[in-house]
Amino acid sequence: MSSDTTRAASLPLFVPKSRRGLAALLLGHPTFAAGLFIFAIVVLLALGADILYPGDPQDMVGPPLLWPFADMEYPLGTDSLGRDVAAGLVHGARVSLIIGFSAAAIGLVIGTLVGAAGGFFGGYVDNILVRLTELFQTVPTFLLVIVIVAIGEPSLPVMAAAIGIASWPTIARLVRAQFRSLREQDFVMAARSLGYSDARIIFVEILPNALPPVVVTASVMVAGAILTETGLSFLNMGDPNLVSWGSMIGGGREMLRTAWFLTALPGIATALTVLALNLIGDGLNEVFNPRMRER
Amino acid sequence: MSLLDVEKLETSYRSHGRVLKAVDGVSFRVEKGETVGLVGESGCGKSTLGKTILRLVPSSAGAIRLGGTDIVPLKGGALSPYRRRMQMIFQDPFGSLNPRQTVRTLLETVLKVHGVADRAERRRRAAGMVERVGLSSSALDRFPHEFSGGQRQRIGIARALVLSPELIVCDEPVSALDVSIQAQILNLLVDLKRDLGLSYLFISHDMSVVRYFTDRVMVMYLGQIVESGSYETLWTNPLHPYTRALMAAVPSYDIDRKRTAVALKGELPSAARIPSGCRFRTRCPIAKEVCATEAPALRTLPGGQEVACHFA
Amino acid sequence: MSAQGLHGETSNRPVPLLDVRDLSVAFPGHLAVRGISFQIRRGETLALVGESGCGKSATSLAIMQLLPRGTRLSGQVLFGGTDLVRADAHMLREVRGKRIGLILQEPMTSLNPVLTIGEQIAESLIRHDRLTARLARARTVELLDLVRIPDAHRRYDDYPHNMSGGMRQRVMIAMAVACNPELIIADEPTTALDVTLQSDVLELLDSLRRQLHMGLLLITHDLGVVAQWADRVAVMYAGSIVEMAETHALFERPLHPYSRGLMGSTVRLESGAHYTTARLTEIPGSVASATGETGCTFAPRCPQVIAQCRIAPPPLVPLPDRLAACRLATETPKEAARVAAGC
Repeated sequence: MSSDTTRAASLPLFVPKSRRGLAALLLGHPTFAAGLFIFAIVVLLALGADILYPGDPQDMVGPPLLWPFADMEYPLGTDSLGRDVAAGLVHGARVSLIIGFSAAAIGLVIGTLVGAAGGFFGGYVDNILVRLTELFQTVPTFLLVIVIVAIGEPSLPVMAAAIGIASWPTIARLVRAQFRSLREQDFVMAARSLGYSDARIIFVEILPNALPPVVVTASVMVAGAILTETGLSFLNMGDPNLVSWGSMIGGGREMLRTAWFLTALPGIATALTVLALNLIGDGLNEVFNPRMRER
Repeated sequence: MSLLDVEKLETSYRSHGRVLKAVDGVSFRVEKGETVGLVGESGCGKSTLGKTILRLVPSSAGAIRLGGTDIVPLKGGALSPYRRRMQMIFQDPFGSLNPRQTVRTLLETVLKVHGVADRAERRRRAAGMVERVGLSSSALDRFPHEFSGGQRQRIGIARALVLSPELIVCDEPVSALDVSIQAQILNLLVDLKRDLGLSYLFISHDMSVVRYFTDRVMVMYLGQIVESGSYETLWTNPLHPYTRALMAAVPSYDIDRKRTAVALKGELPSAARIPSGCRFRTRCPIAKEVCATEAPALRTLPGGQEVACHFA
Repeated sequence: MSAQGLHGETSNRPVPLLDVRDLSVAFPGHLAVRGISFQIRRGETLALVGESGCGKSATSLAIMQLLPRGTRLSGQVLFGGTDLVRADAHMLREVRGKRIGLILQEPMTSLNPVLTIGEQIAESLIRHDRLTARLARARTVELLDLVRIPDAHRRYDDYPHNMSGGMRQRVMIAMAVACNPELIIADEPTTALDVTLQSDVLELLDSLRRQLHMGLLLITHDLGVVAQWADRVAVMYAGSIVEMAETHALFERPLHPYSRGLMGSTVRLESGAHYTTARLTEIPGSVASATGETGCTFAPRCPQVIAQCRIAPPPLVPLPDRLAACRLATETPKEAARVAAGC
């Protein structure tokens, strides 16, 4: 594609990369591929949790404090109550992913609506929304989540909602910035001169163009949500009926010197998942970045 | 009755707590079938004027009459039928098309929003429009980044024409294009005008193009019109010193013609510090005392030319 | 018309200031410049004119060796006898900014926004000419005067954003001439400016060129600028030079079909042509058609194309008053002359 213009492009826009094959994409970005791979494994394990380890991972199934690989029936060992660590890990994966995605989704929806409205309309609407965003941002995220969970009950939906409520400001700021710049673009002016409604302009014209950095941030938000949930469960403020990586880390706390694998394994699982999500985020960032046009 | 009748139009904006006027009392008319040019340098307000007329930027005073009706007080649904009658072609071929929409989506959405319910009808009209602007129908399923700048301008023109408007405001439509592509687009605009009975308000800083393309032209400086005239008179007999300076500054292709000396002094005053009296006096080679005290009004001369200068 | 050779051929002439030989620049996936050659002498202005995709900007960056990593370069760029393509980093530092000055299109992005303009000019003097800070400041004020910036003493401490576009471009010119370079490369120096400022800046550049006896490589898409300010001109299309001549020769009788198309499509203020009576000459298609073309790159758009044109690219051949890369010129010179005269 050649351009026959004499002036440089005004704003780098995120153009659809319609022609690149997936294979070429992955080969060109090995860290992205690695992140996707790891994450895919986590997802598969979580999905297959009921097949691999049917039943409740909190069941006491074996002798306590078995080391990994000591008994191949419990390949990753057992904890102080004889619960299978491997079962806990795969079921915990499920919990982490559910919390991660739903919290991120809630944060995305709220953040996008607030940011889009403020960025598009400007004026006093924007002023109010910006103040609101700042209000939520000044409260430390983790504390806010703890407070909400403490007021409600420590169940998955409440935790997801709490984390979502604590994390929407980041998205809101990002979306607002995108909208503020995109609304000055000529194609938005054209849409207005064609008589399109504000709703159509916001959701159909601008939003698809505003999304790429949001998607990148979202992947990191999922990671953050997983970490927050891990922290909550570690502090025994999570759902007591569920096994999650955080509760396993917390549970193995007392035996750190003797049976450190109880803490280390779920810790590694968390770290790998978060790493994978970060790599995916970086990779998406590169993928979405427009190639600078040759003049 | 004129197609477009603008009367004492003003557009203000806030900057550092002050209210400044990008368009400061502009009046003119565009008759049906006319191409009126609006020429001036950066900061003169010509682009803002174009956007104000299309109600993309709110005006702060004055009237905009389309076919006799003042559209300034209209909003929303009441404004919609008037919006259809005027459209705009933009300067930047990169920014004027939504990068995430195919050409088909772009064109058919316009029709859908404006009540063409039948899908086949929309497809037919979109395809027809694309071909009318000189692109093949294979263009319909491609994204903007797959086209060159000139082709994107054609798409922008197709978008502007879908609703069969009467007036098209062209905001520097060829300034960002290569010369050989400029010629293509200008020829296309001439053909479309003839075939569809369009009227144009052609905004540009390029005097040569404006001279070629327009029937009448207005020269703007710092938010006001300083001279206007028809293509037969203004270019051969420019009256306002600013018009003369602009014309003299265009590099001549005639090698033997001596390069004329630099005609304008100083710099464009900022909008916050507009000179008293005649705005142009700080750069004018013939400014006298009266120019500082009395702002010259735009007066009409016997031949139909208008000029705002004490000495024209 | 000067007595020296039109094509700058050397014979018993002194070594030309800049001698580009068979320069090719290839970006990944795109051949931007296809083996071009030209020369510039001290005190003369050569204009490189062409539209997007012709390779003129790539050429200017290639001369300064400022191309991004991953670009493949071949050919020679002889500056005062040294080949810059093969020069080491030390030599290039000597040359860039000191013996060759560069002026770009967008002064706002070329100037550092967090330094005052005085500091930026002085920096060049301190590093290249080894002046002390005080002397550098004094010289900078002199330079600001030279480029006709009023109130130079005060302006020294201004930041780029305090100045208008025209002023910033003058600052760029001051920076470029600070160390008395032998060659200035100006890449679209006035495209981003209003027309009333354009003639100012170009006039300034021209007078400095004469004063300091520099060579000027003026890159532009504007034929009017070429007509007014260039001694010789090279027309580029899709990476090649298609025609090169003294300016008046080109404007009187452009020979290459692209040159003629370019002149025909250009709207000239003084011609008085109007759309009601005359249609602009179009060059159909776009430069994208040149990609992958094995013959003459202009063939897909040329009104005088014949079968032979698509076999191999025509070489740039010398004619009595110019160089032209077209079969018309080489094979049927009488025909070429007739066609050219009849334009």
